[in-house]
Amino acid sequence: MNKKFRYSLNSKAFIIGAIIVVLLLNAILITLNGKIALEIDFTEDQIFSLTEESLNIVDQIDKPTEILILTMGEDNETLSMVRNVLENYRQRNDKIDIREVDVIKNPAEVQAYMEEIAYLSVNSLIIRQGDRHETVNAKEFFTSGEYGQFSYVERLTSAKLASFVDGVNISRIVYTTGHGEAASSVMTGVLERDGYQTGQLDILTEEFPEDTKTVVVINAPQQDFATEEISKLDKYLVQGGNVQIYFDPRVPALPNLEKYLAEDWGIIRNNHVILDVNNMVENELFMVAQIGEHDITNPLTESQKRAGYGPANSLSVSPEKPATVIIDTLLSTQDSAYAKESLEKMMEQGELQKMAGDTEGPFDILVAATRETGNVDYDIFTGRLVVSGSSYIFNEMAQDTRFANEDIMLNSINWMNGGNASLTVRIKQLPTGSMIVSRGQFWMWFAILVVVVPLAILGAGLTIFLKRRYK
Amino acid sequence: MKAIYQRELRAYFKTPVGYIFLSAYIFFASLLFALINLQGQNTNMMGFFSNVGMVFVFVIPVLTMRLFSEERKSKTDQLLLTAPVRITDIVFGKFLAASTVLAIGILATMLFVPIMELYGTPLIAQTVIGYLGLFLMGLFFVALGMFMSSLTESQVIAAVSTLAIIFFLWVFGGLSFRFSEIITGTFGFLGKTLDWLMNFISIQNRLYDFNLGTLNIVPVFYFVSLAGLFIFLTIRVIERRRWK
Repeated sequence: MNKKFRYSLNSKAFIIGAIIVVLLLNAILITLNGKIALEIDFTEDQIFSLTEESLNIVDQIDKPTEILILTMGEDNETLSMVRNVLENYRQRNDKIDIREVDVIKNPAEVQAYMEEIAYLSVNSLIIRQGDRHETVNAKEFFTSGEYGQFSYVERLTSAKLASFVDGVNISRIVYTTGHGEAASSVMTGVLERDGYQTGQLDILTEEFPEDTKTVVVINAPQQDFATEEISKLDKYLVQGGNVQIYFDPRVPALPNLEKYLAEDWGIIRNNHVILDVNNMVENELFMVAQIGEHDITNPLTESQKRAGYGPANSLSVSPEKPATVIIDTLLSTQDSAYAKESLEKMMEQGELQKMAGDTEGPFDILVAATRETGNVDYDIFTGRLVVSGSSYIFNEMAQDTRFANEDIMLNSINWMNGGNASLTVRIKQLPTGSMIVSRGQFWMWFAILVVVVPLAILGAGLTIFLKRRYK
Repeated sequence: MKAIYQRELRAYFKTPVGYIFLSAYIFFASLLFALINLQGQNTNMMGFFSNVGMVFVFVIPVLTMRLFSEERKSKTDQLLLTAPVRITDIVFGKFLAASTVLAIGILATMLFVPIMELYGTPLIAQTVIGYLGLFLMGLFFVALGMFMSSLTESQVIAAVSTLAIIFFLWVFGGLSFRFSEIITGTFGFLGKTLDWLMNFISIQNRLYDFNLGTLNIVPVFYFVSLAGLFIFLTIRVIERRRWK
C-alpha cells in the first residue's frame, strides 16, 4: 500500500514537473523572441527582415519610442505580417517598444489622437516619442498591381522613425509654378506618403525659401525662365540650396535656363530624343538605364534593382565647366541607345528603330552636381543640383514598381538634405507568384486531385478490407 | 520498437482507417489547392496553409482513435503489456506509425508544387516552410490523439474527445485575441497569466509564422515540446496500467 502510494505520488509529481518544464521553456523562448531574433526569413524578398537602411535608422533611436498598432479586436494575417515586421525594430533596439491597442475596447489609450484616427485604417501605426507622434496609415501598407504586390510596411515605419532621429530633418519639397510645369500627383503622393511636406513656389512673385534644406523642383517646364527668376534661382543655390530640374524632351528649347546650367554648372541639355528599342520593357516606351556610382544610387545597386527612363534628352558636361562644380552621372543609357534629331523628326519618320543619321549612345540622362561657393566671411556653402533629361523618370515612372525610380527620387531628396541618401528604405515585393491556368486545365486538375485520387485511395482501401473480410 | 512500428503501420493499411484518413485529407487539401491556387492563379500557398490546418482538426482523430483504444477493447493490450518490450518503445512505435501515415498524406499534397511549376514559378522555400509547420502541428495532434486513445477503450470517445480538444485549441486563437484586454484589465496579474496561457495554447497564432514563410524557433519548439509532453503522458498512462 505504502509502495503504491509512493509510486502514485512520484508519478503525479513527475507529470506536473513535466508540464511546468514545458510551459517554462516555452515562456522563456517567447520572452527571448521579443528581444532577439529567433527566426529565419525564407520569403523571396526578405519581407520580414529589416534592410541595412532601416537598421541604420533604428540604431540611431536613442530615446524611448513606442509603436502602437491600432486594432479592432480581430487577429488576421495582415496584422500578423505587420507584427512580424515591427518585431524586428524591437529586437534591434530596446528603446523601441511595440504594443497592440484595441481602439474599440480601449479608446482612452488613443484619446489624444482621435482626430487623426478617424482617417486611419485598421492596423495603422502611431509612433510616439515623448510629446511627439507620427502616424502611418495602414491603407498605404500594401499595393497591388499588374506587376505584383508590394509591402511598404518597413519603408513607411522607418521613414517616420527617421523623423525622431536627432539631426535628421525631413525635407520640404516645393514645386515651381508659372512656366507650365507638370503637376505630378504621383510624385507628390509618393512624397507625402513618406512623410515629406510639399508645396508650391511662384518664383516670379515669391522669394525662395530661407531654409536651404528645402528642395525646389522644376518639373517639366514648358516655358522659359525670365532673367530675374534665374538670378533668384542662382542666389538660392549659392546660399547652399537644393534644386532639381526635370526636362520634358517634348519641349524644344528653354534658352535662359539652359544657358544658366551650361555656364554656371557646366551641364548641357542636348535637345534630341533618346530611344533604345532593344532595352524597352514590355514593348512600352520605357527603357532600362545603367546605374552610376553615387550616394544616391549605391543602395540600388546593392539591392540589384533596375532603373528606367522614358524618351529623354541627353545631358553632357561642358568643356568650360567651373572648377568648383562636381558632376556625377546617376543614370545613363545602355550602349545600344541612339538619339533622333528631334521629336518632330521622329514623328515625321514614324520609326522608333535606329536609322542612319541617328547619334549613337550611350548618353547621360540623370546627373547630380554640387557647387561650392564662399562668402566674404570665408563660409563655404554647397549648392546641390539634380538634372534629369527626361521628366518621365520622376513623373509617369515614379511609382512603376518594375523600376526603382521612386527610390532614386527619394534618395536624391535625402542626399540633398545632408547627404544621407540611405534614409530611403526600398519597398519589398510580396511573394505572390502568379501562374496562368486555363479553365480546361483547372477542371482537369480539379477532377484528378479532388475526385479521382481520393476515390482511388478509398477504392483501394475498400478492396483490401473486403478481401480480408471474405477470405 | 521497430516491430511495433511495422505492426502498427501495417494495421493502418490492412484496415480502412489509413485509407479513410488519406482520401479525406487529400480530398479537402486538393479542394483548397484547386480553389485557392489554381483558380486564384497564384503560387503563393499562404492561403492554402491557413485553411488546411482546419482539415487536420477533423481527420487526425480518425488516425489516432484506434492506437490504444482498440488494443484495450480487444484485450490485446494484456499481451503487449506483458511482452518483453519497453513501454517507451510501444508508445514511440505507435506514434511513429501514425506520424508516417500523416507524412504520407502531406507528401502526397506536396505534389501540388510540380503542378504549379507547370504553369508558373512556385515559391519553393516558403512552401517548404509551410509544409514543415503543417507537419509539426500534425505531430502535436497525433501525440494528443494518442494520449486520448490511451485513456479510453472506446474509439468513438477517443476520436470525439481529440476532436473537441483540437477544435477548442484551434478556435482559441481568435478568442484569446478578442478577450485579451478585458481579461488583463479585469483580473490584473492573474488576468495577464491567463491571457498568456490563452495565447500560448492558440494553435493558429503558432501557425501564422510558418504560413508567412518564416522559420521561428518559438512555434517549432511549441509543437515539438507539446508533442513530447503528450507522448510522455501517454507513457505514464500505459506504465500505470502495466504497474496495476
